Order: sequence, then C-alpha cells, then structure tokens
Amino acid sequence: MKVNPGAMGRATVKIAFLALVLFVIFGPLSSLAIWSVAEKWYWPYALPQQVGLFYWGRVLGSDLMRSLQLGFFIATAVTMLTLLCTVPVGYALARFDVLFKSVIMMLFLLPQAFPQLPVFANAAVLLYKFDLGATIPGVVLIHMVGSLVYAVWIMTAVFKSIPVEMEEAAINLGASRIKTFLTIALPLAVPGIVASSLLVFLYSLDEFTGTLLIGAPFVVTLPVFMYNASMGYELQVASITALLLMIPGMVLLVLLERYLKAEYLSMFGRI
Amino acid sequence: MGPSGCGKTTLLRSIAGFIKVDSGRICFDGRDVTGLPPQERDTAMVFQNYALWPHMTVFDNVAYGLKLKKVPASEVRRRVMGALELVEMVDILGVEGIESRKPPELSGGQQQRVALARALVVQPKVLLLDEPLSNLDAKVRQRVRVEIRRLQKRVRITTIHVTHDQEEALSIADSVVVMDKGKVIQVGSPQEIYRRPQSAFVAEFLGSSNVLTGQLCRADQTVSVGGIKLSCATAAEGKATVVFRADEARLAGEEAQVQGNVVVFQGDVEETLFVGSAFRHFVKIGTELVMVDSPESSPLRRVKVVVPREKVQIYPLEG
Repeated sequence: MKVNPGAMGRATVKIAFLALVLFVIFGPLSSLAIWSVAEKWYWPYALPQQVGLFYWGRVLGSDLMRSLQLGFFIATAVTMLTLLCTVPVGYALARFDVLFKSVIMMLFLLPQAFPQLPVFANAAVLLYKFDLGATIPGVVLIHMVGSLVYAVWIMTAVFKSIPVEMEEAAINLGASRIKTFLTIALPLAVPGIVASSLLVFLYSLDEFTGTLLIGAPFVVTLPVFMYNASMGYELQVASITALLLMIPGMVLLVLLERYLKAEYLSMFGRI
Repeated sequence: MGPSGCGKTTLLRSIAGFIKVDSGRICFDGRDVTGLPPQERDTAMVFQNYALWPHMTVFDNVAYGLKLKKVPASEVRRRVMGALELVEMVDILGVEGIESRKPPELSGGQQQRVALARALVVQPKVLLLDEPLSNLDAKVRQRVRVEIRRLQKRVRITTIHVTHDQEEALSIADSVVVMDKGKVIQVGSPQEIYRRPQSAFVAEFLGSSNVLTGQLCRADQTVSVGGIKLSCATAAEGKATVVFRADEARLAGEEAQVQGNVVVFQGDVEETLFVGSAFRHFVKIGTELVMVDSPESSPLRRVKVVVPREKVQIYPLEG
C-alpha cells in the first residue's frame, strides 16, 4: 500500500491537535472524576490508593438529591415566569415604536453593570423586609434579575427575525392583532423561545451568589450544596456534585445548539 | 408601475390600510375606506416574498382567512380546494400533498400560486399584488404573468398589480398608472401610455427611447436640437426634452433625398448591436448618442437619422 507522506503528516498534526484540545477540555474534568471515586488518596501518590463508590453512595443517599430537585423546581419556576414577562415585552420591543426603547433595554442591563455581590446583598436586605428572605419565591426573584436580561434580548431578536409581512398577511385577511400574535408570531417564535428558556434554565440551575445570599440557610440548591461540601474539605462530595451539575448543562447545551438559530444572533445588533 | 423607490408599494400598502394616509380618500366602489383598519377593508394582498406561513400546511395557509370568518368546515374545504384548483395546485400537489406539505417545501412558482389562492379564497373586493413576479426566474415569470391575467379575467376581481417591469405592466393591465417620486405621472391604457407618453420621464421609462436635450426659442417658435431646428409651438423659453423611439426612426445614406414631413439628423454610426428582434445602431448626433433599430445591419458610417415628425415628442423642462 502506498501512503502519501503529505497526507500522513497532515493526519498526524490533526490527531495531535485533537488530543491537545481533548486534554485541555477534559484534563481538569478528569481530576473531578478521579476525586469522585477516591476513597483514600494521600501525597505523594499520583493516583488514589483506594478506589470505590463509597462517596457516590453517600452523596446519592444524602440531601444532595433534594438540592437537585429543588434546583430543578426553582429553575422551572424562573423559566416560566421569565417567559411570561419577556415574550410580550420582547414582541412589543421588536414590533412597535415603544417610547424610550433604549432606556428600557438599558434598565434590563443595569443590574449587570454593577458588581453582583453588592446588588444581591442590597436585594437581600429588601427581600428580607418583605419576608422573602430564605424562601423559594425570594430565590426565584433574585434569579430573575439575571435571567430577564438574557431573555428580553433574545426574545426581541427572535421576534425581529420573523418577517413583518407574515403578520401583515394575517391582518390583511382580517385577523386581529392578538389573533395574529397567537397564530403567527408565537408559533414562529417557538424555536427562539425554547432556546431562551434553555439559557434561562441553565442560568438558574448554576446561579450561586444570589442563591447563597438570599436562600441560605433554608433554600439550598446544588451549587450552594457543593460550596458547603467543599468548605467541609470533602473534595469527593464537591466533585460528585460538580459532575452531577454538568449533566443537565451538557444536555441542554446540545439542545440549545439545535434551536438557537444564527438569525437571532444577527438581530442582536439591530434592536 | 414606476422605478424602484417611486412610492408604488407605499401606495399599495396605503390601499391595504397598513399605512395611514395624511390626506386624500381611498374608496372601493364608492365606499370610503380611508378610516378603516386593514382588517375591515376586504382587500387581499400577495406579498413580494409571498409571506406564506411556514408552520402551517398549504391547506391551513389558504384556509386561514375563511376560518377567521367562521365559515363552516365543509365549506372551508370546498372553497380552499376550489381556490387551489383555480391556481392549478391540486394537480401538482394532490389532495394529500395540500394537507401535509408546508410552503418551504415548495418551489418559488408553487409558493406564488399558493399565495394567490390564499388571497383569492376570501373573495376580496380588491386584490393587491406587490411585485408578485419579481422573485421568479425569467421563464416562469413569463408563464405566470399570462396565468395571472387569465385568472383575473375569470374571477373578475379588481386587481392592482405593482411592478417596475414595463413589459409586465403593458402586457397584462387594462389601465396603467405610471408613478415617479411619489406622484402619479400618467394614467391610461397600455397603448396610450406606449404611443403617447405625456412626459419625458414616461417615454424614457418605457425604454428604447431616445431622449435629447433641446433649446426652446419663443421668438421663432422652434426648438434647436442635434444641430437642427424644429418648428414647435411654444410659450416658454429654455430647455426641452426631445423624445423619439428607436424603432420609429430609420437610417438613410448621407446623400439620400428624404421626403415627407420628417425630421432629419446628421450623424455617425458608432456601434451596431444585434438585439434579437433587430439591429440597434448607436448614432452620434453632435454630442448625443441615439439608438435606431432596423431589421438589417447598415454598412454606412455617415448617415441621416430620419424620424416622422409626428413621432417626435417635445416636452419643455419645468424649472
């Protein structure tokens, strides 16, 4: 068999590059995986002396599952409420000459302009005043401070990407504005709505600062649980939590990639 | 019809009710609709990009207008199929295809037909077509143009067809409105518009016309153009546009004797192009270039361009 040396060289470079990429991505993660099964691991050993699923059993039997469930519950609530607010707002911003449009968009961005910690700390004071501290509604509200930003910008871009003639055609045939929105704009925006809810869901699931400040000590989601665990020097528990937290993220990102169309991104600048 | 940016689509959208008019009235059959919202005007529009809804089947697209009017399901079905039959889509897609396929799966010409069916099925008072053929390739356009005309004669619905294509306008319209810069310039039958354009703009827009600049002189009632003087009744001084069509002029030899009531220019043939139906000669008259069509290519260099006097139109330039 004759082998083209040029092609061989290129293939070698390709494989080497791929290996490097995999190492950079999965190298740090592998330490998580190793820690999660390490029952005994002291210096100077490169690998754990004793490997087992002891900590996995402990974690799965502990409060972690409750934190996971709680996190999903809160993320679902945040997603629903965010959509409820941002779908109409995004539509209005995309279609009508809303007064002070840029001011409204800025308002949504404003909390992001300041360091998170002081914003959340102040919000915590406020929420405690309304007896929302350390409650699930309080945590949901604080998550929405961040999620509304993503969602409003995405939803506006999504509705902008739907040609206005699509709606005019319906109005022309006699459909009211609301009917047009429900039968034309909304169904056409579904991929964008899905993409934006996935982003919001992930954001809420991974949110840490606000959850810790508002939710502690009664509302403990997975990131807070992980924080508590690593504070107790149980690196095994923290690693397992991190691995578990990655799963929904990866699944949802794959879905996101399918639904987030390039058109939406191209609309961002034109809002 | 009119060049792009002349306001023809704006006018169409005003008729549909998408744009509020600052002044004037819009009446359908004597009924004033100026103040009515687009939903209540009983117009049906076919958009330039068709604006078919990609999330609905062909059937649902066409049925949308009828369902809004709460037409009973059995009648919806009958009328949708009737409209699709009219645009010859039933044979192409079959009943099953109509119920299962969505617009993105169709070709441009097919989408165009579905868009027409969607508009026709509601039996509008006025059918509005916004450059409906501009997204089709030349061959399909020729065919669909004829079909739209035939269809319109059959359904007998007043149709306003916006286009920048003069051939399209002249070939299918009963009445042509020429627009420029937001103004209606001339209204008339296609023959009138073509034979008797009332301004230099219309003559030029209809194509294959020669437009020369001349100088009016009130004292001896003439216009000087291309080195000669033409008698012309004028009350104004200043510049004028002199227009004649390429196919109404003919070439003659430099020494030839020309008789009759004609206008004769002296010039040099610069270039000859074969354009299919004729040879087009580009003749330099003074500083201006004119086109003369003739069935045979002329071997001459120095020529006379001969145009019957009544075919030469003179328009004083305003301002």
